[in-house]
Amino acid sequence: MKKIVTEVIPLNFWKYSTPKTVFPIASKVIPMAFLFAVILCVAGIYVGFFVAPTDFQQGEVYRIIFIHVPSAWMSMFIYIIIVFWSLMGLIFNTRLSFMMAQSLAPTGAVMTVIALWTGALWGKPTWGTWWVWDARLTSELILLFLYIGYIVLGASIDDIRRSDRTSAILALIGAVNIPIIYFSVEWWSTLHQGASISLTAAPKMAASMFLGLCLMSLSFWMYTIGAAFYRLRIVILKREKSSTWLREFEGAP
Amino acid sequence: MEWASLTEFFRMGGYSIYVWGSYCVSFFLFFIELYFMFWRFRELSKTEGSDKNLNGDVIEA
Repeated sequence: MKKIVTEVIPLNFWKYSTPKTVFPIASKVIPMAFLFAVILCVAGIYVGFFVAPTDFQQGEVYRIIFIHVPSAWMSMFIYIIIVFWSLMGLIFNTRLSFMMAQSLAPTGAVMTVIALWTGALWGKPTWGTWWVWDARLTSELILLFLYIGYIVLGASIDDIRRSDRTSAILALIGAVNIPIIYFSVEWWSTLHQGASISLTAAPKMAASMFLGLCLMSLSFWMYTIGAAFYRLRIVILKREKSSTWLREFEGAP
Repeated sequence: MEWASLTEFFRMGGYSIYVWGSYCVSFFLFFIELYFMFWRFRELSKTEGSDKNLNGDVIEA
């Protein structure tokens, strides 16, 4: 008589929490992400410069929006993801979570610099000034300092476990700044305009402008994914240099 | 098409310095970030003792 064995295969979520399994996945994701980033960027710039009409108030200078808004969004999104991974790392003690958080930080800092720079170049012709100490601009500048602080703090502590946990706590404390940035235009009177796009209402702009903005935002997302996974491989290489799996993966020389 | 000529396109309605200044600096920053990342990865995989990095690309000595 044949015995029927019902086997339950446990779904192991933790499998994807070790550097060994994620390294080859990252290697596959990186070229795809960068490829999509380039395609979406070309499409976004085409729509932004050749399809979207001239703004009736601001003229051509508004075309900075296609780089200013996506980078400003990403500067905040990336910080939220860093907070998420830091929290995961602190709760579950998974070393890969901290690595993910650290891999994202430099890209977040670059996005913040771009948002501030393009904001200044947009502010000069429209507001008449490169910079004002108002709520939106100042809180975004604080975000840049948080990114820099996070990176420097992590790098300055030699003991990896302590470095991971300390910088994660800094990221959590700094999270309070994100809603301040987002709602600053509503809470305080500021030179910066309010949100043109919200989840609840139709966008207050021409459809082609909105399409260009969407394409550029997706491009920046793809760039962030590619860059973060690329840097994740660097972090793994640095930390797990002596482990056997890495040497096996590389293939014996 | 929004632009009458190539010159018009580069003039950006008189805002060329602001518009192109934004785009050029932004892409330059992305380029710098990528350059340092690629360079770091090459350095790290070189010291592994193999003449190939983890992408399988041969690294010249």
